[in-house]
Amino acid sequence: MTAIDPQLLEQLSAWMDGELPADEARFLQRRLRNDVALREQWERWQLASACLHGQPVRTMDADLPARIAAGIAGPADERTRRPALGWLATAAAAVFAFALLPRMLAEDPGRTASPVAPVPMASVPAPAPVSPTPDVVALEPPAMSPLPSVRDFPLVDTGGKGWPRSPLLADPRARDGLLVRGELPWRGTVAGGRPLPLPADEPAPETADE
Amino acid sequence: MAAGAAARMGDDQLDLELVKRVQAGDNSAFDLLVRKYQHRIGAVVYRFVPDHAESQDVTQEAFIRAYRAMGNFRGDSQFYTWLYRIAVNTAKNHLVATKRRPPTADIAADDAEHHAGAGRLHDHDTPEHQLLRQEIERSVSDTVAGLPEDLRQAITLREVDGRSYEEIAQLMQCPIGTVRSRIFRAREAIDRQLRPLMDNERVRP
Repeated sequence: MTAIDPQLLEQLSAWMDGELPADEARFLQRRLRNDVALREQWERWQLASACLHGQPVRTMDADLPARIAAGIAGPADERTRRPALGWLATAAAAVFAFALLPRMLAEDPGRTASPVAPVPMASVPAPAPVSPTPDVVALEPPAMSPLPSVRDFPLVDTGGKGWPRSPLLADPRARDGLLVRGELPWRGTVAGGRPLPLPADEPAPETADE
Repeated sequence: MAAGAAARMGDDQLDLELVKRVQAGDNSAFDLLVRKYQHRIGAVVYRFVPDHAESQDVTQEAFIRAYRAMGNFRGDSQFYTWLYRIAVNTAKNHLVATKRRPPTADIAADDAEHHAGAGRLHDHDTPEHQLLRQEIERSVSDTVAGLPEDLRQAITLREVDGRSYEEIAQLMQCPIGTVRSRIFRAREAIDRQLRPLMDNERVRP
């Protein structure tokens, strides 16, 4: 081990106490960057200082600082690259989707004569509120297209009525009749009744014996 | 304890200066912070992970986490307090990851070093490490006690009472340069006794 210049050590001692003038501190810090022996001296003085303060210490292995230095040089770079790769993948997916969108619209010639004009997204009206007795809107089976298009889901003018539901729900009286006819024979039984063949979109009953 | 607070302030400013250098990309500054605090952080970690090799690994992991989080450190708290929290969380996470239960009670960083938990640290320690730690502490205190009066007074006023060089110069009625020299010579004397112990300690597996 080569001896360290005592003047440098005295500067280190003063710097440790925050008492070294700025110009000397700059010089010392440049030395510290490349002088491991000086940094080891700093470590021992800090340990002695902790002992004098009565602070509990536990001597670490001599190679711990080197292991930490190796640790921050390796996996840290990998971790900082990961988010960048994630953003890159997201951006690539977005560009790809944008590039495909016009092609999907153009590849559907059978739908170009659709009576529903394309509506810009910004001008899409808010969905109409669902009426308590929704009316039935008969939908014809859509023409098959090789690729699904946004025009396969046109914004049909329902005249302010709610989303089409099961034909059984068109007439409330018919629905109530169906419920009564289906339930009467089993009312009062131990099992509480057989599940009714409910129309589509009808919420399931909470209890079976109601 | 105004003098002690002033000394603490100087210590904090030095830490903050090193942190800023680390944030600017100077890893040698981080090495200085590691060397300054590794033995204290090692003692904190050992309270949770009372195994020598394991506590070394957890201490290493704590410093690496601190380095990666260094960009978030703004100096609102003391650097050691911030580092202490990272070390405690790392130790607790390690216990959970290894299917062990971390202690429910925690100790604030400010109180940690003088808490009864420090006593528990000694209880957990192996006889060899306990003996070496006692040797280091005794070596430091004995060396200080055996110093010439002017050196002993200067190092005690600085390290124990936390006085600034200017205050020590006034108390000892000597120039600041003399104070600086006396404190350095005292540290050199302590180091001559400490170095062989550290070398012996560290060649041991």
